[in-house]
Amino acid sequence: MSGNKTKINMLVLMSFLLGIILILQIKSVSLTHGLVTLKSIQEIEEQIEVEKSEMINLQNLIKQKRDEYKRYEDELDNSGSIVPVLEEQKYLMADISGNTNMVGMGLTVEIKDSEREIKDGENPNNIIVHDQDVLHIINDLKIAGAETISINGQRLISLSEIRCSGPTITINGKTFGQPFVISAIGPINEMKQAITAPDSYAYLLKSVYGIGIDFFTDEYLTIPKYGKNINFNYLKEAQ
Amino acid sequence: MIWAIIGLALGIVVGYYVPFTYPDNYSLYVSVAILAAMDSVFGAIRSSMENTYNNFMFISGFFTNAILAGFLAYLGDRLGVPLYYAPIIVFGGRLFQNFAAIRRLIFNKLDASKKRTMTKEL
Repeated sequence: MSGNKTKINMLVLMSFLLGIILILQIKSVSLTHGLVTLKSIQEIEEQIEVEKSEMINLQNLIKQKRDEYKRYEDELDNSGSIVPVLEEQKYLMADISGNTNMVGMGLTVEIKDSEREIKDGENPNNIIVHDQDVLHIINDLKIAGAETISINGQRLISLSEIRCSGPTITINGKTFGQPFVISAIGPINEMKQAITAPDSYAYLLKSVYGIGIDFFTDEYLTIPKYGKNINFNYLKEAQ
Repeated sequence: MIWAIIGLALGIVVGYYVPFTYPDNYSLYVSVAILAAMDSVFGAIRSSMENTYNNFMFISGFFTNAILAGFLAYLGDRLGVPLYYAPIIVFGGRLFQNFAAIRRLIFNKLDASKKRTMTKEL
């Protein structure tokens, strides 16, 4: 009987040991710490930074919405209606959507076809202004902080197209030949740098292809409002 | 066999809470050692059912087989020859043999008890 008892004890003990080794192995293998390259560490750190800034943005948004709510409440308490606040907002929305004429200090850029003679065998496309060029320069201006932009008097809004139509460019459904006059309200110095810096697109056009790019600043640059009616056929407000 | 399962379950529970892991490099050696240990436990279950159980054989087999298997795997790594195949094939094959024997023993037991009850009923 005692032999049977030691047998059982030993069996339990050894199985116990086996179980411990087994689970340790499973734990060690599933906890595999793969090689982490410096690059991936950096990427993850960048991601964390992005998430953090996103968090701050969202917190700011919450604060902004709270302030807005408070403004509505205050207005309701003071005058019994929120119409003045709403009207103020309406004007702001009109400004944002391009439904008002704008004035401010800004920069006017004039882009003309190159006046140099075409070389033997050279592609004539090299010396004329394309829609791509205009788009590039507009993007550079936006990066520099331009707040409102028009081309040849056509206000650029989110729906504005810049289309190539032969030697001309179509903007907001209206076709213009060169020169193209881009007006932008915003920080003058930054925008100037955006089109004169040695590695900017405008500089490249000017120095390599000889495209005429002139600019002048204006304290009271006027940018007209968007002229067409906007009808949304596909858009619906999300619930 | 029930005792072995109880011990295994206890070991798993304790092992789960032991805050210890080892480097990934050793996982191959340990896995081969685990195979050897499993074979020993199955062998012990089988021999206890066959009433040929020997305490010394079981314990010495458990440890030496596991250590030898792990060492072979390590040696194979050093020599650049996959020597861990040897324990895998031997112990893996024996594991199934032991398991088959255990099944047969259980079946025989069940069969015998059934016959006994049948004869009783008769």
